[in-house]
This record gives sequence, C-alpha cells and structure tokens, in this order.
Amino acid sequence: ALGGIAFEDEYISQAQQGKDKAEGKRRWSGPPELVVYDKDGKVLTNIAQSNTCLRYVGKLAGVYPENPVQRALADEIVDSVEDLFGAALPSFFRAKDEEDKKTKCAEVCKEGGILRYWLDKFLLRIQENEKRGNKNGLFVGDTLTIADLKFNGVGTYIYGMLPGGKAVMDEEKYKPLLKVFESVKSDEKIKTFNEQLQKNIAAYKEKPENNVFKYDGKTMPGCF
Amino acid sequence: MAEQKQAETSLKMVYLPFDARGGPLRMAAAYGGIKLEEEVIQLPDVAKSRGEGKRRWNGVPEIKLLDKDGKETQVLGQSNTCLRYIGKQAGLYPDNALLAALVDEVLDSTSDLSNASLPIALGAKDAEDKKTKAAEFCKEGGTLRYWLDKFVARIDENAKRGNKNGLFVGDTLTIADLKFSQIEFYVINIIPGAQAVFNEDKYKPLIANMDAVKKNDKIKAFLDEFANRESNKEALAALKKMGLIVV
Repeated sequence: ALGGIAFEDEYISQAQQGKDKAEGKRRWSGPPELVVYDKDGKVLTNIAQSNTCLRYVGKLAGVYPENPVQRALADEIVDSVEDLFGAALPSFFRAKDEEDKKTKCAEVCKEGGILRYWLDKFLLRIQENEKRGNKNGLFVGDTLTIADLKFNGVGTYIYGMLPGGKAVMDEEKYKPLLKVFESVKSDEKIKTFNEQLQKNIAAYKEKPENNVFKYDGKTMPGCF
Repeated sequence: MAEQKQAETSLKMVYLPFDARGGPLRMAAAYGGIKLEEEVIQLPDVAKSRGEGKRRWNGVPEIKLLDKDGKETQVLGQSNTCLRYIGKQAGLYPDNALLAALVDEVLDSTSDLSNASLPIALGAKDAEDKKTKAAEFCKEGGTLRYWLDKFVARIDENAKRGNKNGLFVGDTLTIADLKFSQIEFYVINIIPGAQAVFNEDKYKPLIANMDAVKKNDKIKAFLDEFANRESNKEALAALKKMGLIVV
C-alpha cells in the first residue's frame, strides 16, 4: 500500500493452513507466502517467511534502505521484533489454561521481565536515530521503513493481545514506541489501505468463500 | 592467483570461540577478504553482560563497524543482520531483489530450524529426557525431516533454474549456503540421532551443499586456521565434556 503496488490478498483459515501444511503445500512452515509473477503474468516463484516477504516488498516499495548501514539498522528491528514475539507470545498462545496464561503473562510483563527488556532496546534504537539527526521518532531515518512497519505488529500482538501488554506500553517511558504505531497508522496511504482492509475482512467473515481481494496500483513484476 | 585484496573495510566481531551463529559471519569475511578482528566472549559472560544491559539486543554475535582510522562508527547485533551486512560487502548477497529474497528465506528458515533444536539440546531435564525429545525430533514425520525436506526442495528448485552446483541460490556461494552450514553445529553436533538422518540418501544434497562451502579455497583456509585456534579447541572440548556435543 505504501509503495502503491498492485497486489491480491488471498485469505486462508487456520484450519486450511493446518491442512495445507500437513499435505506439504506450504513452502516453508506457514503463511504469509507471496506469489511473484513475471512481466507476462506467469508465476516465477513463491517466496515465504514473513520477514523475507517484508524485505522483498519493502525493496519494491522503496521502504527498505539502500545504504548498507541504514539497511542493517532496519534489519535489526525486523529480526528483534520476531525475537520479542518468540519470547512473549507463547505465554498466551500456548498457555495450558487461564490460570497458566495469567501466571505466564504476569511473568512476561513484570519489572525486569522479558517484555520490558525488549521494549527498552527498541527505545534505545529510536533515541540513537534521533541522535543521528532524525526527528520524526522512527527507527531508521526520517521516513517510514520496514522497521516501523514490522514494529507496528507489536501494536497488534503485544499492545492489543498480550494480557498486561497494554498497561506496560502505556507507561510514560514507552510513549516513543506508541508514537511509532501512530506514525504508521496516520500515513495517508496506509490509512486508506486499512479502511479498505477492514471492509474486506468483514466481507470475508460474512462469506468466507469469497477470499480474494485485489488492491490497485502499479504492477511490479519479478525477474531473476 | 592474484594477491588477496587489501581489506577495504574492517570489522570487529564479538562472539563465542566456536562456530555456531558466528561461523557464517567469519566465513563471509574470509571469502570477501574482509579483515575481521575478534573479541572473544565466553558463554557465562554473555549472560552476565546481558544482565548488565551491555548487549545491543539479546546476545551475540555483534559486529563493530570501523572507519578507515579504526574508529568505531556503529555496532550491529542480530546474527542474520550481521551476515547480510558482511555478505553484501563480500559479494555473497545478490543485488537482484528476488534472488536476495530466496537467500533471505534460507537464512530465516535455518534460524527456525536452529531454534527448534536448541530446547532439545539445552532444555532437557536429563539424559533420558534428551534422548526421548531427540528421537521425537528426528523421527519419520518429525520436525527435523520436515525442515530438511524443505531445504532439499529449495536446492532442487535452484537446479531447475539451471544452476547445477548444488547451492541454494545461483551457481556461486551466497550467504544462504554459509548460513545453512551452521546446521552442522545446531543439529548434527548437538542432537542425538541427527547425524543418522543426514546420512540418508535423500539428504545427500544437503551434505553436498555443506561440503561446497567447506571446499571453497578461501573458506577452507580460514576453517583450517580456525580449527587450530586454542580458544576454539578449548571451547569444543568444554562443550563435549558438558554433553552438549554428541558426535
């Protein structure tokens, strides 16, 4: 959406994903997967692994820095968000029962716990970016990159879903991290896309057999 | 053969004295003729430094970028970030976006497989629990074979694109091949029974891929030197004594 790239979004249910994976249909382990077409509309290849897809689309969209150091700084954020998810999300996705979930999530969110450990690191990266002369409160440079887009996922999973996560992130010291969510959401192109996305999700929930949604934009075929 | 080119960039790496996640970074630097100074850190000191807030992220490796006067300009963490950075300098990371994506997939998936094996090697209650968990991991239909089948499929696809050297992307080494070589440490060396799985015929392409990395002249020269470092020998001996290395 940020890059104005045309794409199709095909939704699959969790049950379908489980079935597909068991039948060996997943390229690696799970979605997302991208189908990349050549200039003649022929399938060139699929690619998977969410961060691989993000780097690929980010490059096409101009939101993955070209400068090697800037690129590496963006890469760090992408990888570290994944590490945060790996550390924190099992506490509620894999909890045995409600009591187990409560105990584990409290452990994750406590002072000195892993959530605050990682959030403090992300804060430092924003501060470092500011010391480099960038004043927009982003992770790398002064315009959105895949680093900010990836971190936006923390808004969904940690702020939005982890019991206790919102309370931690609402603390004064973590305001700069909430500002990143705001910067992403308030981008005009992303805002327009999100409005359409919500309509599409509602339509899918009503009629799951209609599961492909197209977004207009420029065609960017792949090539080897 | 022309003289090895003078290093145009130099780096310092903070890592443990054995291969694991640092291995691919070292090999990439060696391949590219990049001067890599090492600051060796021992395992207990990693945990200590993390607790003291001294780690850029969660652990090591970290690389310190140095300017032409040897002054530190930036520290980077996250092993795949560091590998992409060094790989780009070394000519091991494609410029083409789609080829780079195929490389990235292998990096991410190798990390996934490495992360799946660690709880078995490090988190088992006792030797019996480790044996049970390792058997589950290595069994037909188990996690190890699931991932290895995917890696074999990627090599097959690359061959169908006309690349015949048994690598993951293209016909010359990339950081995908270097990264995959860390599976020797994270799976073969530390999971009981994993070696036997890798010895099966269907996984020969993966062994051939690892051999292709080790046989590259520049990498071989480096690996020979690394194997003879006292710090590496001591570290491996300690890991064997701990029961972590099982081959």
